[in-house]
Amino acid sequence: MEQLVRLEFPDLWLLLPELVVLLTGFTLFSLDLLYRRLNHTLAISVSLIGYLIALLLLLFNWKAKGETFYGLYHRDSFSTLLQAFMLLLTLLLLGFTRAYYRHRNSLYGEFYYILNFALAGGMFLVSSYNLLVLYVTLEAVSISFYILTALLRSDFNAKEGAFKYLMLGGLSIALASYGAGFMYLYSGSLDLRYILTHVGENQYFLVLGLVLFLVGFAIKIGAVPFHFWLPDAYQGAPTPITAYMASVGKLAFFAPVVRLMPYVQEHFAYAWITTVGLISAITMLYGNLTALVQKDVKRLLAYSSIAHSGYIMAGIAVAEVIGLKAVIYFLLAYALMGFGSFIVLALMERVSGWENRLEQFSGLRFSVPWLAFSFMVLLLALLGIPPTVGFVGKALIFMALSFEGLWWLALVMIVATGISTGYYLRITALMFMKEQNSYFSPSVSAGEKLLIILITLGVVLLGATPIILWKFVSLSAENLFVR
Amino acid sequence: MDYMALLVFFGVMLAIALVFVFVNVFLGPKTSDALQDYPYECGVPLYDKSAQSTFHQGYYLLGLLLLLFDIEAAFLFPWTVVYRYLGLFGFVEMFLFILILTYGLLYAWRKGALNWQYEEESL
Repeated sequence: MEQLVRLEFPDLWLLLPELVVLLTGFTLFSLDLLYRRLNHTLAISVSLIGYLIALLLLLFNWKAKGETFYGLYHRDSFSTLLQAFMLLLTLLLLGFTRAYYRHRNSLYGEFYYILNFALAGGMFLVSSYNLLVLYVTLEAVSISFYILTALLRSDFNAKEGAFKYLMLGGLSIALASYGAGFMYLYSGSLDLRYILTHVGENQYFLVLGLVLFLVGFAIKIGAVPFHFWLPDAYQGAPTPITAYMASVGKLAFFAPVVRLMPYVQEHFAYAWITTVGLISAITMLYGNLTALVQKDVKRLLAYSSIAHSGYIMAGIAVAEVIGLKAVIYFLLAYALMGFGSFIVLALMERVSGWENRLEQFSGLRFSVPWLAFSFMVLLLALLGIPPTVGFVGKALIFMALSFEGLWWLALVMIVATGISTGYYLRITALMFMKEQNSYFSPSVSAGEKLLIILITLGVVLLGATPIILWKFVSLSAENLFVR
Repeated sequence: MDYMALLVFFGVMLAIALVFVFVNVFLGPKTSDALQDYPYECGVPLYDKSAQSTFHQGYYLLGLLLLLFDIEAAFLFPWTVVYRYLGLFGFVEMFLFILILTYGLLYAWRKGALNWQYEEESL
């Protein structure tokens, strides 16, 4: 018995950013306990300070690498990159939430620490290979998202979306953990790296486990036969939370699949390419075709989010370094674009009478020219027009597909992008080329204006000089392939 | 044949689940009165069609709190088995764990989850 017990003092320096985030969460939690009604200015300041410290710690220990907690926790440049993005997006989000929730009459103190737990869960989720840690952190992120989705006072749609999300999210977690059980049965280990390099008998246990595990993640990501919760949850949720789910949520849920990729390509390259490629093709086509007929812009963007999951999965189908680089770049790009476009809707929703209907966008440039312009840039980025980050992402995915010779998938991607032109350009045309039929002008503070302009600039800048991000993306992708 | 136990486990699991679903039907008190679940509105037919029959929210909260200590117990069992090899380190670790869980209970208490006689908006 004694040799089974191995004591090791954890190397806490490696997970210092996560610890700071968790500590921030506990501070918020304790403040809420202390004051019963949490002061929002206090809560926002505490969160901002905590996340800024965590972000600085990440940036100063950029090269930190290693494992601790008996290999449960794994930090490398991939996790650092994704965590930095998550923190950045959370910081941006906190600039918009208070005014939105005040308008919807739903200012809850709980919001701040539930958001914090979602972030902390996501940060741990992107930095582990262990099935148990993946399971626990997946639950942490998902449960926080269910609550955040429902957190709108007397709004039926939010509750309905949250309930659907809860049901299908619970199913996905059940499937993933069932699959994890089979993988454990096969290899006797919970470490994904060990499981996938282990050669043992009963290989069908591994295949069954892997399939169930990945189906669980496919539900979370919103790949097409498993996407049913996504439009309702995205539409029902408070719009800043939709932005958060589309950015940080996507980053977190895609990370374990990306970590799996280098290992899968050795053993199941052919099966992997066929299945993931097929699902990706269906996702791209279905997402874009359904978005085309939507009348509600928030729902339209939710379907566009499904389509983007499809593009990312097309990159995942390419089980090579080049595919991995494209996937990471596109993930980060989509996080920024998706976040920005939903946040624009969140700003517009503060005008009374605004319902995100398509025709309400006509002539928006007359009422809020700067916001209409930002929205246009973000939509063009989602479409993939050259000087934006969306173009670089799509070009990289296309390049990866053509290097691997997956021409059929590349063709589907081009067709899907062509279809998506229909709805992105329709909104742009409505905003800029139509007469105004009603006047909508939200009262936006200078800070919010600045943040929106920063996001827009970031989208253009990262597209015009992709090398800024590419260095880090390329490095982390190569690190993932090194054993 | 190695995994026969799993199959047995699956059978037991299914049986328990089915028993839980159907035991209510067999053993629960039956009333044939159609008005039993009808929301009461001062003796007149229902005005507000969105009114539902009442179900005490406290049951859910109690279930959640049970989960809190359920998981604690699940972690405590393996810990006691290896406790003598872990020494002070294990002792402190488990204390931290229980402290965090107790903090959760404190939160539930403070937020009024333990108030069985609930009032409107008792935040």
